[in-house]
Amino acid sequence: MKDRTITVSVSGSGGSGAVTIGLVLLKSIANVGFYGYMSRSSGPQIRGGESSVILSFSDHPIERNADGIDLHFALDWRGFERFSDEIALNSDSCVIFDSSHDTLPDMVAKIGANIIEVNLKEQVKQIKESLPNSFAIGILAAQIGLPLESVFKALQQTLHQKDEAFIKDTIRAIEAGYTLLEESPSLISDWQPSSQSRWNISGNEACGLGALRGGIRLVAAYPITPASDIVEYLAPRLEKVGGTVLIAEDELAAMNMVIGGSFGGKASMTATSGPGVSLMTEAMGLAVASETPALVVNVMRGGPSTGIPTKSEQSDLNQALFGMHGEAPHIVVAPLSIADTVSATQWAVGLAEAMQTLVILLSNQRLGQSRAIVDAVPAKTYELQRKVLAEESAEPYERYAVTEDSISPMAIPGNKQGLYTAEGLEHTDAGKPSSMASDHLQQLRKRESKVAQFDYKDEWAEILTSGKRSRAIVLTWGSTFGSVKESVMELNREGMAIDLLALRLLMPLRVDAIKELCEDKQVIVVEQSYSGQFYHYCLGQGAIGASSLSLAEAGPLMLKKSDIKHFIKEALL
Amino acid sequence: MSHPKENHLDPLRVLAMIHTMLEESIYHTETFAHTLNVHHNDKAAKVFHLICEQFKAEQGIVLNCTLKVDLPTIPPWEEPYAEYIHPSSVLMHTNYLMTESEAWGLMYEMIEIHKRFYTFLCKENSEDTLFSVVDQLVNYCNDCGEKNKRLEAKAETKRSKSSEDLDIISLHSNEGGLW
Amino acid sequence: MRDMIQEAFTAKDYLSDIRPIWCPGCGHFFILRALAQAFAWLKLPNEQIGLISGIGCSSRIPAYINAYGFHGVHGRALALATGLKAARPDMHVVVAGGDGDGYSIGGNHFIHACRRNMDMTYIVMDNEVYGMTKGQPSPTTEPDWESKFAPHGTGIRTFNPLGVALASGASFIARGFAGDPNGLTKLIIEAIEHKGFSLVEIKSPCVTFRPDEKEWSKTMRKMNMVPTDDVLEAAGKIHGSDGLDTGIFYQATLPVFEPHSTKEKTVADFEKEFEV
Repeated sequence: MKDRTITVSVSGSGGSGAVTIGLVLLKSIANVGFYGYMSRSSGPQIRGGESSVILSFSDHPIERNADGIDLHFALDWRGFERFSDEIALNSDSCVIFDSSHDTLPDMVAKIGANIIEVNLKEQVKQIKESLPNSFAIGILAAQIGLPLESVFKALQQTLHQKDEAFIKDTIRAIEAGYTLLEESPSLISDWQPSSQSRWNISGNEACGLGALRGGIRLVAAYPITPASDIVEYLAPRLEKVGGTVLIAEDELAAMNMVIGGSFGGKASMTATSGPGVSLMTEAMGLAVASETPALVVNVMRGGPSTGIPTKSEQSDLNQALFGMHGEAPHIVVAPLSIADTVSATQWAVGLAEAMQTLVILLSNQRLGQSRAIVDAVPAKTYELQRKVLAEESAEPYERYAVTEDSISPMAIPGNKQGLYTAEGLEHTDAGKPSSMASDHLQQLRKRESKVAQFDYKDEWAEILTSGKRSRAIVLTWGSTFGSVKESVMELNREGMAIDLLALRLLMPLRVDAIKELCEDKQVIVVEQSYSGQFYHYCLGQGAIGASSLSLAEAGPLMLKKSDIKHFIKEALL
Repeated sequence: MSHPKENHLDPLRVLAMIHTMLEESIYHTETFAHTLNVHHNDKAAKVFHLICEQFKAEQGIVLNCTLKVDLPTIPPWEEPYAEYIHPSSVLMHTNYLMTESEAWGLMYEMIEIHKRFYTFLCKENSEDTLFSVVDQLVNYCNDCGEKNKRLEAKAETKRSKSSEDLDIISLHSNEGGLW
Repeated sequence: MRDMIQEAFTAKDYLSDIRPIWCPGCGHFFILRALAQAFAWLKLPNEQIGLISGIGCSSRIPAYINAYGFHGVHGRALALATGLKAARPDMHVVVAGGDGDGYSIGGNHFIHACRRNMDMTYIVMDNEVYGMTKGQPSPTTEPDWESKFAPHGTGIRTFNPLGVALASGASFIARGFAGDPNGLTKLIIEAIEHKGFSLVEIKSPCVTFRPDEKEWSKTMRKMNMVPTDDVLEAAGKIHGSDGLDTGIFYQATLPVFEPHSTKEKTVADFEKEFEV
């Protein structure tokens, strides 16, 4: 492989075990010291629908699927048409399929890929407790070049609850599959294993871990795809570190519970997706007005309305930026990768606590529900804490006092010196409701200024410079970062000089810093939205000039590296 | 429910009950005077305020006699005697458009509640110390009664505004720091 | 001399220096006073009280009480209070609001707060009308009450908060009347002392938009009986009442939702789970 990346996909109808194959292969590749990334896609059925995984493996950290598929295994072809645009087979692909119940569909046949038929029904007959997907694991492991021991170890890690007879027969089936095909190209044979300590983690788990690291003690949430995994990760863990997960009756409740918990002095958050955020929006404004720290994680899916619940898009940006009524300065943060989600979430908790305001973390289905082998993410120290009123404070307490950094000490219930009523009405510095123009202006300024003058340090963005006098700079955010980064690096290796700016802090926009980085360069903004929300935002804020170009594509298909490279090249002709 | 009839040998308990009743009357007349002011009915507010001062003086009489002792805490649900009416209950008939004369009417009803309690005590009580306090209270009420009658005679009986004149919403917005 | 500690527990100590500006005659004044009396009788430390409200005339109450308060958004007070109680089980959480706030826009939270049965007290100041927005019909307004919003009346039967609370799992259900300050104070005290979710639905006349409600001082009656813990008996009493009976309709010991968290692990323990 040119870029030392191989991409393998598996598809099948419900219960065929495509996802299990993916999980076992991902663990196997980790066991031999390499990196991997697995995205998954499923039909709309609750159980038993068709599902697919796309795995990319490499000997360096990888957090995206390559454009093309090297190897595809179809456990059956039922419902494959749903994935045909995601699983991009081409004439270089090798396609293996179980021919015991299906024939090759025309749509696959006409691609001209190398086709290998296997009859798994025959194989299953020979080993009592075996399943077709176990043979598939063996076949794929041999094709990829994974040693059997790494697969067995992965199997044990995956199936630890199953009975021994089953595991024994599964191992026999994998062994049989391993030697079933005569030709095994062993795609990874010349790779160098990593000696780094590595993690096997999904984006939603990464978010949960970041929340734990950030000190979250209350989570209130209502189930929603694709964000529920975050809550499911936290539910059994948070209660063991002194926290609580509340099951809310709806998202309106969830957001208000978060505010209540935070008012009580505990860092609090919710996790949801676009429709949930719509319901939370009124109370999100309350967090801003009452200056109560709150973190809202939005794992974006396709919209509007119910949209595409199981697939990804970056189209809730406008909602996150401008969703609230009135003027409600707040923070919007977006992680750039699965690994980055750990620290970005920890940072987001800290920002909410330190600035006593609302922070929205924008993840998406692709980031959240994909799983990767990444280098272990060390815990960071951001030193972001809530400024609280001292127990022994003797001054008369003014909850919303205007201070130098516009952040006023927050009294935590239980403190005798700080009795106050948190307000959603506009108020005076003492917290008394007021509709006077002067009080309104004072508090508007205060809320705006604490966010504007805060020191976000280097965390606000990832900046990659070409090392030369760059002609262009690509601006992006969130899950498109992986593909954009590889595109830019490849173009630079090909002799171009392009910089990359990936924003982690979307609001407040670091307009001056962006302007400086973009000066005298062709600006290209890449994002996954139909209307170019990020492009228009940067343009509207004056961070980029009118000659900037926009590459904006709707989800749920991820932007292809080849398309990004092509767009940049065309732009710089 | 325990009534002073059973407790009439304990003058401190009775005094505490009088004190509690006066506390309620003072709080409510003061609070209602304030809200009448906010609702631009200064005339009625003034009547409430005046009577509030008289209630405070009544309470002064009780406190004067109990300077050296702790009054027992009376459970807030306990009522002094069976026919007792809470003095605040008449205030439900307050109205932001009420006339000065109607305000006097309500205040009389409150005073009447106090007086009924005192009269009850005069009948039921045989304790000297308590008798002297109650006597002072009744005398004070009577004195005020005379004075109040003269003032009431000058009170306006006509409504200056109709309910359509006032916008309730505007009253709920901030006005000079009030809310 | 009076001792200083005792001095600290009078109603005055729980009333803030912001004075209410509800309409003169409004029932809410008496509820505010009763609430302060209840706090004083229970000797609750001010800093351990969390008084949570939504939006409406009644929801202004946190500003008038000397404690920790939250004046949130319309209808969500119970949800906010749930978050507070979960985060701070040591706090005495009291939620206050009106009939529109609690039974209409906040109806779902009402059901689920009853169901959760967390240890908190919900005081509904029910005047059967939206007062703050000038007299629109609420869920507890009679169907034939004519208003600008509903010129022929709503034609919709009234909401039965006590019945809904019982069906939803609240463990203390009472009705009080603003015009009976002593009885009301007793109800609030018992509600706060009750372990679990306690509903005190208080009929509170809106003298401005519902002057007819002044009649309540003649028609409301006390139901002097021992509270039942039998759901069927309580249902009979609630549904058999014309809405003018005050007292405790139901009080039972039911499972209280309390978060059980421990500190047996550290975040580092969970990081190990990801290692390959």
